[in-house]
Amino acid sequence: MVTPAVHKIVPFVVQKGTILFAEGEASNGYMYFIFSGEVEISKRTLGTIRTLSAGQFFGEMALVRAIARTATARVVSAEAKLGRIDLKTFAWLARNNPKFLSNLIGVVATRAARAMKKVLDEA
Amino acid sequence: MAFDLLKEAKNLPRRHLREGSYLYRIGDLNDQHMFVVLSGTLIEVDKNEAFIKGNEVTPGGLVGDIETMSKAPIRLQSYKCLTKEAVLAIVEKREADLMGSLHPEFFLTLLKSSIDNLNAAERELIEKNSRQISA
Repeated sequence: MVTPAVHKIVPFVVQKGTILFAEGEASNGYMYFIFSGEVEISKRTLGTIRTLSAGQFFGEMALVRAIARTATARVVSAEAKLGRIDLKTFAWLARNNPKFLSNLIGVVATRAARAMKKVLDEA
Repeated sequence: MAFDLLKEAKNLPRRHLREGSYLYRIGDLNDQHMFVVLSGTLIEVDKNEAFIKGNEVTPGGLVGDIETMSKAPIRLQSYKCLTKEAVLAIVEKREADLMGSLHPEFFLTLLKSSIDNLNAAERELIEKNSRQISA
């Protein structure tokens, strides 16, 4: 679980069915943290990839790539409390809470390592 | 001033490789180090060490970050020295955290690398599933 620096990330509440971003649309440059509730990540060709809950995050690609969103993020709980950060906040967090960012990168690296291991196992 | 990984890494402990020798192989125990290429070139080879898999990694390039940042127990890629010799800087995780706190660009580099590796692996899995379905 990654606990963000909450005083720097302004939380907002969204209702069930809200689409934070849709596959193919231009990125707004934000990645999101979930404080409460559940968000489903899906792709048109694959369906639901994962359902995320409190302490997890999504949309991180927006911080490093100026490309269209590669998946759709939709709130599936009755409501969800989320926070979002942009590149400027990312840089602030790196300076003021490097452990947090190190953990965040660790989570993405772990997702990558699991996928890479699966590729090797299926080769 | 722009972040220069090569410059930041030049005072770190080093490892030397000769042409054809491996930095590590898939399945090796992970020593929790990532490496910055200071001179020479590395190449990623496949599981059977028969084919070149990835791009060449030249001075300023980084390898081993996925296993280190994810604390994977084993290495998930194989890299060998392509040039007559190569010199690498050894970056421990705590050194990486310190570097990232001083230079957010380094954390962005690590995040970008993780995302790129995740996307590449997922693409491979999707293509493999598609081939199986159409077969």
